[in-house]
Amino acid sequence: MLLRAVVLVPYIIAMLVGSLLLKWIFSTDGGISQMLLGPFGLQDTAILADQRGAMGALIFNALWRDCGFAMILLMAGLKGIPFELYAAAEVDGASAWYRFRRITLPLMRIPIFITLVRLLIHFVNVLTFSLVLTGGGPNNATLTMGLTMYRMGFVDYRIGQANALALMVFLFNLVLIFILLRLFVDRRGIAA
Amino acid sequence: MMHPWRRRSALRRAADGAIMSIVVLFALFPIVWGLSTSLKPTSDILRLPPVILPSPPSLEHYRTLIETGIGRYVLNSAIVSFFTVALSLMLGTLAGYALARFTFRGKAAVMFVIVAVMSIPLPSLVVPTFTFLALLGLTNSLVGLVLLYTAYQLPITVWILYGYFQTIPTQLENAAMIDGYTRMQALRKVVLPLSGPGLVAAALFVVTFAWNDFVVAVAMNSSDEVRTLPVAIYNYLGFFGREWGPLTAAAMVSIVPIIVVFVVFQRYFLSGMTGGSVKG
Repeated sequence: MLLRAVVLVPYIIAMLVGSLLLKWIFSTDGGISQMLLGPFGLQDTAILADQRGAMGALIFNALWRDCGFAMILLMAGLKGIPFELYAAAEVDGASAWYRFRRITLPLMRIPIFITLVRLLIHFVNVLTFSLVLTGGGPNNATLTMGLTMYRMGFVDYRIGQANALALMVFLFNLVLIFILLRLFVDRRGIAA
Repeated sequence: MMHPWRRRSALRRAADGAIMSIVVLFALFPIVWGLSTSLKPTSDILRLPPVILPSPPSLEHYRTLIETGIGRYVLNSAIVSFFTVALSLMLGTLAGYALARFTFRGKAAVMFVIVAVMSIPLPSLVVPTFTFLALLGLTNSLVGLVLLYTAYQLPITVWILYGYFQTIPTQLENAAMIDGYTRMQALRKVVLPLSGPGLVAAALFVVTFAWNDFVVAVAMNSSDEVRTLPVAIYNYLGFFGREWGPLTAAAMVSIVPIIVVFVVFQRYFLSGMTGGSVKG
């Protein structure tokens, strides 16, 4: 129960603040990541100034914030699986891997689907991570759709263009959801 | 999964403990490190090797923040959060109750729309809503923010409360109405007093959103008097640049209240989170 609360802490604090705290960790002016990389001879690496490093940091930020969220959603699904199924399978001699593949995965179809949709929509559109952590840089390597939209609308004041992009991003989301639906819902129309 | 019929070996338990410590470290380290930095005097922040517990702790960065007027922004955020929660709960109760108790034409469509709207990503709405809000003349105002936040959070509020009202037996209200209560009185005096957990779960969602939101606030409001805390922190990033003391202090000002609320009410938060999503 305590662990559940702990992993959600990065999720409930403001995204902006979370990214700020991670930026401090990755920062070159005495950020602690320099210290940790020091023993490997990497102390001069400016993670956020390197294109790959910046992307890595961005992914780390997303993982740090949303792993707990995914965990809670999936756990709710796991709790819904009757325990007897596992006991019966074990009596019948099913290995742990076999039980996972034949009981857990099929019964987790809907929770996995819901989690995927929510995470994907969030990650496709999010702009705060890249805005704060990398500013889209270096060299636009971490520029995301959300950030592009924000800049168009509220930095360059090209509202019409930003609106058009917003519609396109929205349609893109619909396509993504549609693809996921096709993957997870079988022809009978019931996801199970 | 716990397997109650099987005793776990000491080795397994040790491995579990190690994994759990790593998870806790991963989740909390950036926050603890930020807290530690915010309490160090400027001269100590960059000192190597770094220490977690600053001695003695200094509040100089918090003082700096108060001098730059962070109080105003905290107050703005608090006002917006409070009114957003109040408005969302009011409208959410009415809508959720109607959905839970009445059958009417188009009910299935309404429910579908509520779930569909919940999955529209917020950033893709920001620019269009800005255009709309400007048309109404509500940009640069706290009222505009409250209305927008309510609009964004109403679907999840309705959904959580609808789910909760369904668990309350109708006999109670029916008895109250036979005794002469009107429908509204029955809702107010019978159903609502029983709906504490549902209301708290919904309120938590709304308050974390309203308190934390940056994307909407930065787009809608540009003047200083109506600036909310996350936007102010974003501006500090430009203003303080690489002075991590005041920056981490500002971060703490934002996250400490929300973490306190979360720790106190986390049970409800979790129930709302999974109830609202897995059922959907």
